[in-house]
Amino acid sequence: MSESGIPGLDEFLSSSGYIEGFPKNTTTLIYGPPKVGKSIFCYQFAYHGLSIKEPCLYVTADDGMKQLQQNMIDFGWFLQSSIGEELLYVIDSISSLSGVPIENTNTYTLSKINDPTDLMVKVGLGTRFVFKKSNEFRAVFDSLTTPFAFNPEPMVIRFLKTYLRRLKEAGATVIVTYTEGVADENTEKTLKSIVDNVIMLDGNYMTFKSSLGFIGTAEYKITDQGLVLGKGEIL
Amino acid sequence: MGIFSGEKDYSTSLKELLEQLWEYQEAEANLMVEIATLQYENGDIDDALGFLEKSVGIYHELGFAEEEATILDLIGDVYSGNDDISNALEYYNMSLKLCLSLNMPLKAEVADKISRCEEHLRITEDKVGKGKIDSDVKSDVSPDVDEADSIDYVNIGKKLDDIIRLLDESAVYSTYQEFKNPMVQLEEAYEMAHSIGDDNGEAALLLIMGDVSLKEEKTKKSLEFFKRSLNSYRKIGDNKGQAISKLMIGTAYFLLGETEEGSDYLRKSMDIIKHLKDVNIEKAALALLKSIYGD
Repeated sequence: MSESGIPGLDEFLSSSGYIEGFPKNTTTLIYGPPKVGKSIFCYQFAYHGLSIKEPCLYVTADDGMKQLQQNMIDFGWFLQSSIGEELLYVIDSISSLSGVPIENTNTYTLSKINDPTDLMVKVGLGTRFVFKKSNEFRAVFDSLTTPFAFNPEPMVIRFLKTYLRRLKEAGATVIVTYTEGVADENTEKTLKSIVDNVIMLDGNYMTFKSSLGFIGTAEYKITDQGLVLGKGEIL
Repeated sequence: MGIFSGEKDYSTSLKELLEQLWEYQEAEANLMVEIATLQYENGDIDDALGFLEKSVGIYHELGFAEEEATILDLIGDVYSGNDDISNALEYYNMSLKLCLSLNMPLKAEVADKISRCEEHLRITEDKVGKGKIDSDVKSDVSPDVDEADSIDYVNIGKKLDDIIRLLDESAVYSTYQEFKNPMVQLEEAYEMAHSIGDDNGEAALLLIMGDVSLKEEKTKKSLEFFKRSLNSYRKIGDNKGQAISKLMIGTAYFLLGETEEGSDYLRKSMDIIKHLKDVNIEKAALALLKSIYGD
């Protein structure tokens, strides 16, 4: 298992007997309406991994690097030391749209959200970088909402399939987020079908479905410690 | 009887095994030709020739004269495609010899190629002779005149870079030229673009691969990339991309000495550029034309 970093989640998943905590080396889609904590889940998942020295390849498509750092600081999660240790590799696919010149570093690279090929090339470079650190790493893509706004939906799906396959083959535990209602209904169905697990957040309940047959739902709250799970039941 | 039946088994088995071996060898030769084709398309001429030569050896050993003649003709084509006419002629002649002995329909085609090669060599020899006289005359009149004939690939390459960067998608891919093995990176990206159906990316990457090849003075290979890029831009209906591809094709033709074809493409490109009403692209195109025509 992979420690999710979400208080209560690993215990809840383990209690089912189906799976042992958050499943390692799988792909998970986190979806739901806006402002229900999808990005916070990502921050928590990535930060917890970094705190136990598990490298992370983080694609930020909604916020630029500065905003991402600020968002995490709001919860008291500081990235500077992980950046210094080169445990965190960030692909920022949104900042280049602003036109402000930003320099790439060893662990930070720019891409363009409307250029999926470049994004995939950068994912390849990033994967190689984090893989060298550890063959067990985390990969976060937050979120697919922006790529859907800038590219044809079938292309985003093809991109995502390649992304998930490559990362999974490399040994990553992958999470991707998506805001419900942005893409076509059929595209949403496809999205849910190409991942191993789906987590639905609605602001009150987190529902976890695994391809292994586990379905469970639990209350959750967004606190200053991030998401915290409450009571849940196995369905 | 026992011994006799044993011998029969032995010869049958041997025959079967030999037949199997020949089948394997034939398949091996076929594979070599396929590999050579891929390598040729990728511009790896020496490797392609190596595999073709090996396959000729296998066909010869197997006594498959028709296949041998076909591959010899193919080797001639590879040499001819790379302007190595004397080697092309040598292989065409070997192929023709076999074609005639087997009365293969290929003989007419090969004979035609031989006459074209001979004609080409005759013209080249004439030109060399004339050039020598001209240069003798020039050296008497002005010793610096010869300098103008050299092609400044670096300068033209820079101008091409400037133009390619004007395409939105290309800007990011141009940075791949700073990587260790830019062509490998670009090819990988091209495969990626193709697999996810990113048509814009595909077209832009072909353009940059052409640019990189041109800077490496692989002008024919660059021409192929530019033409493929033009097709891609046509497919997606991108006028700016088409104008830039045509500009590149025209430049490559010029560098290959095919000035008429080159001028034609440059003219067509400028026609599109005029309608784009993009001052930057117009400026960059004019700068390129200036360096090509050496004005």
